[in-house]
Parts: sequence; C-alpha cells; structure tokens
Amino acid sequence: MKVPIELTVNGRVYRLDVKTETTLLEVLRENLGLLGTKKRCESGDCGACTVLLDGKAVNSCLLLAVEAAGRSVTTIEGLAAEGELHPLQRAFVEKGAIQCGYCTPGMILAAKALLDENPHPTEAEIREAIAGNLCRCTGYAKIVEAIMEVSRRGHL
Amino acid sequence: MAICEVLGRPVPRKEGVAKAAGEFVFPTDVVIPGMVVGKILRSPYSHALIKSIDTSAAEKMEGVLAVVTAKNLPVPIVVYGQDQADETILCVDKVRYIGDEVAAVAAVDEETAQAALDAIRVEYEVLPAYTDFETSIQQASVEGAPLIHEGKARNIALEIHNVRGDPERGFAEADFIFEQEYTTSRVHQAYLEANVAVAHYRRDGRLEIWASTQWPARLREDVARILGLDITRVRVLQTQVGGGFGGKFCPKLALVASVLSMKCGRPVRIVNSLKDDFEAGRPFGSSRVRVKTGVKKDGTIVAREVKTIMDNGAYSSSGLSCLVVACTRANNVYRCKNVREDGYSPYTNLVPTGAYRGYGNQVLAFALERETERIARSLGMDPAEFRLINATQAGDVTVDGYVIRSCGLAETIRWVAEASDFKTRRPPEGSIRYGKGMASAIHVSGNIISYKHWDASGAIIRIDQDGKVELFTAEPDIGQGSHTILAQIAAEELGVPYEDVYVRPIDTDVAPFGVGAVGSHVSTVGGNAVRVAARNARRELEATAARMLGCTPDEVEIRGGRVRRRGSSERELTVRDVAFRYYVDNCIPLYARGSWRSVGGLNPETGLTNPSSAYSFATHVAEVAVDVETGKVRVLNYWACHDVGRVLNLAAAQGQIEGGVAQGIGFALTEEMQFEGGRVTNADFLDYKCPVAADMPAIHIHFVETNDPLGPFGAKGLGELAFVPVPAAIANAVADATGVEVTSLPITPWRLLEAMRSGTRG
Repeated sequence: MKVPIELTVNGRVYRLDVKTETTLLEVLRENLGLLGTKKRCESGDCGACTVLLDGKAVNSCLLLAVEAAGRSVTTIEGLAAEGELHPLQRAFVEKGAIQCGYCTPGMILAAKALLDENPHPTEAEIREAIAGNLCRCTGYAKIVEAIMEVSRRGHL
Repeated sequence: MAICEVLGRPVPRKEGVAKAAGEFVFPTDVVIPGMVVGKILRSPYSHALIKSIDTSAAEKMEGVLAVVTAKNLPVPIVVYGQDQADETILCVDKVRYIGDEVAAVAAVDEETAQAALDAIRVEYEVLPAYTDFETSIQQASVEGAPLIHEGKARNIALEIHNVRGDPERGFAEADFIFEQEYTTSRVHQAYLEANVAVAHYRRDGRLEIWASTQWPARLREDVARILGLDITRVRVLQTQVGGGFGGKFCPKLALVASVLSMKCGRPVRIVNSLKDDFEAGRPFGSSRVRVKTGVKKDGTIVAREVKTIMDNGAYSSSGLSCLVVACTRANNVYRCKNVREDGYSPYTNLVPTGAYRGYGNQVLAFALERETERIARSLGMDPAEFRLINATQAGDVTVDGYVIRSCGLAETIRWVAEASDFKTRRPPEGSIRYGKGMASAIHVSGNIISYKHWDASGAIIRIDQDGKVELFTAEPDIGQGSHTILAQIAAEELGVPYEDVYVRPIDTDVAPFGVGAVGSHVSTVGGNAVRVAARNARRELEATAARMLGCTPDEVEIRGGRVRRRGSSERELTVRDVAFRYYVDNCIPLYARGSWRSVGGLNPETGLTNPSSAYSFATHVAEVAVDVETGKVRVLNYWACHDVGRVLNLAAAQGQIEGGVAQGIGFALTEEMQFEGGRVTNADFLDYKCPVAADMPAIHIHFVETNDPLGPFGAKGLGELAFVPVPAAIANAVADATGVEVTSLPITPWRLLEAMRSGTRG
C-alpha cells in the first residue's frame, strides 16, 4: 500500500507516494537520487546510512519513510551550504580522516549531531558519539582528530 | 636524493572533497540506463547433489527477464579458480557450501527478483559434510572418504614441504627446544561497502563491467577467459571501492551478472547483502600452527619447524596463496637458516577463503612472535634483546631466499622498546593486571606470486595542451590513498604542482597493465612505473623546451611548473607553454609511457624464489589492561615503528598504521565468524564485532627511513604490514599481564577465563 507523505530533505519539501514498508534510506537513495547516504548492514549496526532527523543522528535504514513524514532530514548533500564545504567536511579532508570514504557521510553527520548538542566534547565523548559508526580503514584516530579540531575552532 | 618539492609534504587526498561531500560514486552507486536487478539463489546445504532444478515458474513470472542455471548458461562451462581450477560460475551437479551459487535471476525490481528466486524448485540429495578443517585432515588418509571435489585424489587442495638448511642438525645443536600449538579463527575483512558488479553485454558483442575489484586488469582477463570472449571485448571500469583488505579479488559476481546480461540484453546489477558477503564472500581461513624452535643459551635461534594448516574452504580462491605466504614469510624476520616449513590447505564444506591484509603472514606472525616472546622470557632475556640477536639485516639473503637491500628492523625494535618503556609495568589495581607485548614482522612490496609470476606495472602520462597532467594506471585505489601517492610521484618527477596531476578512474580500455591492490604492490611497483613514465614525459618536455629556449635539453630545468635554462634567469616558460607548443607541433597531446618490473624471481642456483624487490619491517608494542575476573582485555596504548624505506605521504602512512592496528585489535580480541553445521551464525555487525572508536587506544607511530635502492624515491610497501604484527603484540601483552599461555585467537573473555582456570602458565 502506498501512502502520500511530505518530507523535508536538505531544506526542500518533497511530496511522495511511498509504500508503508519503505525505509527512509530507500527513499533517499532510490526516489530522490541522494546517493551520498550509504547502505550496508540494513540493521542499524554500522552507521553508514546515518542522517539527521530534526537535527538528531539516526540510522535511515531503521526508519520507515512514513515515520519521517513531516519532519526535517539532513543528508550529507545538505551539509555544504552553497557549495562551500562544512567545517567538518573540510577538517575530514585536511586531517586525512578519509580513506575509502564509505563511512564518511554517516560519520560526519554523527559528528555534526554531537557538536550541535555539545560544542566542546571531550575525546571520550567523541569516541562514544561515533561508536555506532563503523570505520574499517582509519582506526578512527584521524576522524577523532578532525572532530576535535572543528570543536577547537569553535565550529559551525 | 634530490630535493623533494611534492613528496613528504602534506597534500589533500585527490578524491577527498568528493568523498566528504557525498558526491563520490562508489561501485554500489553506479546507475546505468536500463539497469535491472540480479539476484542469486544460494545453496541451503553444506554438501549435496543437485538432483533437479525447476525454473519454469520463475521464468513465467511478470517482470522476470532471465533465469540462469548451469544447464542453460549462454557460454560453455569452464572450471576456473584463482589459485587452482575447481569452481564454475554456477553449480553444475553439486553444492559444496551453504551459500554456493545454484541459479540466478534478472528482474525489473528487487521484489520480483526475490519472488522469482523463491519460485525456483531445487531437489537436493544431502551428502555428509566437512564442516571444519580438522575433519578434512583426519579423513584425508582414510580410504574411500567422501570427496568434496570428484577427480581430486583427496580433500587437500595444496601441500607445501620445504626444507631449508639442516633442521635436524640445528635441533641437535640447540640447548633448548620449545614447542607450542596456536590456532586462529575464521575472520571477515568486513569491508564497509558490499561486493557488487554491474555488467552490460551489448549487442555489438562488448561486455562492460563496473565492479568492486582490487585488480581490474586481472578481472578483465579472468572474465574474458571464463566466458570465452576476446579480451578486447571486455571492458572493466573500476570506481574506488569502499574497502577491500583482500576480500575483493573474486570474479563471481561479475561473472554471474555477465551471463544474466547476455541472457536478457540489459545491464544487470548484483549487490551482496551483508549476509551474502559473510556467507559467500571470501573471508579469511582459520588455522592451526605447530611451532618447534631450537635455541642456544646465548639466544641464537638455530632451528625451526613450522607446520601450518589453513582452511581453504569449498573452492580455491586466495586461500592457497595465503598458505604459501604463511609458510614462507614470518620465518624471514630472523636469521635462522635451518627451517622446515610444512603446510596443508584442506578443502571443507565452508565458504571459500580469501585473502586478508598480509595473506597468511599475520597468522604465522602470531604463532612465531608468541614463541619469540615466550622463549626470550624462558631464557631470562629481554625480548627486545633476543630479537636484536636474531634480527635480519641489510645485505642478508634470508632463509626463504629474500634478498634484503634495506632493513631497519633493528631500529624498529630499539624505537618501540624505548618509546614504550618496555621493561616497566604498571602495578595491578584490584582485578586489573597490566602487561606489554612486542612483535616484529616482515612483508613484501609487491609479490611475484600475486599474478602468474609477473609483478609489474605500466603507466601512461598524457600532458594536454594546457599543461595539465593525466595519469593512466590500472592500479586501483581501494581507500589506501594510492592514487594520491601516484599523483605525488608523477608531480615530483615531472616538476609540476601536485594539483595539476589528475589520476584517471581505471578503465581497462585505455589503462595499461597493473597487478592491482595486492601484496602491497601499488605504491612501490606501480609507483616506479609512474616514475619512469613521468621521467620519459619530462624528457619530451625538455626537448621541446630546449628548442623554445635555444639551449640543449639537458640544460632545461623544470620545477614547480616553471621551465628555464638552468642557471639563467633571462627567460622563463611554463609547462603549459611547452605543452601547448608540443601540441601544436605534433597535433597530439604529449604521451609518455613507463613500466617497471620486480627484480624478484627464482634463483636457479638455490631453487628459492625471492618474491619481492623490497622488504618492509615493523615492530609493535601493545600495552593492555586485563580484568582477571571478567576476562575482558582493553588495549591501552600502542606503539608502531615501521621501516617503509621512505615516507611518501605522512598522513596516508599514519592512516594505514592506525587502520591496521584497529583491524589487528579485532583479529586479536573480538572478531570470529561462528558456524553451526556449516552455517554462519553471526553474519551481521552486531554479533561479528569490529572495533569501534571507543575501543581504540592511543597509537604512537614512528618511521625509520632506510631509502631502499629499488623503491620509488626509496619507498617500500606498508598497507599489509601495518596489520601483520598487531595480533601477536596484543597476545603477548595479554600473556604478560596474566601469566597465562595465549594460544588461540580471538582472546575472548570466555577463552581467557578458561585458560586462566586450566592454569596453563606462560
């Protein structure tokens, strides 16, 4: 069964007909062509599909699209305002926090949710905040450094 | 060494911005017009005969475009294999593991494809299965034991028996003999992006494949051979994959997608689910290693015997190469020349095994470096001192015939010993015990066994009329940053800014040959090829510039994109001016090519194969805290010192080590594929536990630069070695903290508590 929903993604309002069992991840990737949100475990264990829902980091593979109706979703594509990289995106590039890059969009959004709530986290708080986002390449060292750097610079 | 303008300076990763912005197209993001969904029907049995397959209902379903089985393939059945031919695209009359590919469908969407799979009826006759390698080994000598592959004499895919020097005499001369057995579990590379293939067989007879592969040139060759196509009709396009670590060499998905596309004429995409990647990817085999070592009172190792068994799984993918590396690598860390190496790779009815960062080197490093530490402590020697007595040095030809032209092993041992304050320990606190452990390792920089005894690479450089440089390579970047490093090498050699070099995404239609991301080959062998191509391009620029400047080519100096007569300031050109002139004169952009081939190979006098041109060395120290009540281990601090010849890109080199340490922590403490009756029971990231950010220690890194004479600008390989010594260092630290033998990985709380209860003392 399809139901009509209204979804705000990266500040733009979309009216869509979606099946009740369709996840937000599927809608983002398949209906809206926003491929920056990554798909992997489909069970909320890897964090690759992390997006912001009303500012909070969520696994978009666990959320039905109908549950996101009427709410505001930010994906990695929505982070760079007018083509200018977000400070977190810049810091990830500069600090060498990106290797294969498959975890990067989810990781950056998890970090943004953290810094929005807690602009000056301790290193342990950062490690805890991104503990739901698997990275298999970097050992997390440069990711944590990049987030600390943005926090130090007084970010957003 | 020339002054470096580009190398050694921090540069942003070539594709970093695209990845940060979410714009980067990964293989799973490839969308081709008309593309449909491919799905695979997998075996529910470990070992069974296929009596019949009925696909009629599936074929009639609306939206189903193709159904293939071994009976109706559009190409003749070819038996193929990476290390040994024993596999077909789809199962012919037998399934050999849970996950084996029985049939495949192409359909308009996911649901239809799934419904079609559900409608396929397969009748099986279940056979007795070998669901662990010990059974295969035991049954191998039993007359009439059921065979996994008919036509093979027994269920052993490969045996290795090497005798170097005179082990008997060595043991006779030894003052002490140590023996121990070690085991490791099946682990998964756990690359974050799925295995995926998109194949489009076009009406003009061309087959195009977008694949997650670590070796595009090899994939093209394999696909052409297995499907019976001319190689020029096969085009492989590789976009940088979301991690590989040895798990993305298998051509299976590309082959199945290709035959589906041949059947239905549409581009077909097959993406593995995480469960598929666990059940039918190419994880890393479990092992049992028995080590016997003879040492003198003074600490000299005089003899060694190592017997290694590594599970091959149902088919020979990279498992046999892993056994070869396991048998002939870790023994070369030390100078002992009397070594017996025995290896067995049994077939089992489990998912076929693949490579994992270092092939089998990490397994033997675990066994041998545990022994190193155990022996040193038994002799009352400092483990660092014991290693230094035995350490391989520059100028050595090692026990397996490795020609060592540069070696910083001793320096790495000294650095970690001092930096970690190795001799001191924190006192116990409550139920917490602290310990430190050390491990050393050696690895290759490209390996001639990776690709038909051919460790080589080609590169093409094209300088267009605007002076911008394009680099064509078949060496993939799988996340390690190799395209950034290749661009740095090209810029350095050409004398142009790094920003002016663009690395073309790999397209086998235009790329030269390259072995691929295997055996720490890309930055060294691939890097040398790029350097040769860049040098040839620079000579062309110099010849054109000489005519423009009215001097001889050897008087031309190119630096930072500027061109002038050396020592003269009267007239200065840019590379752009010269390239434009070249373009106008020749009506073609400037093309230059280069290639480089490893000097490794068989020494006919000794019969030994020197696998690589250059060898890297590392020593690591782990400090752990063990709660002896719960058995929980936490890595508190980590020191890693590497001889990489020369650091080409500091952030990338550090990143390799930090990532290698994380994977090593997983291998040592938490990661283990669990099976029940041949079925993987933890095919997800909840129960297969990879380290997360909160599990990581502080990592202290140091590089020893030995400037290898054959490496590009002195550089040697790094990617695999970053991981190899980690499990051993952690296991040694746990043994040190608890006084208990650590002989089995992963060191789960349960295993450790068991060991403490049973009281095996170290």
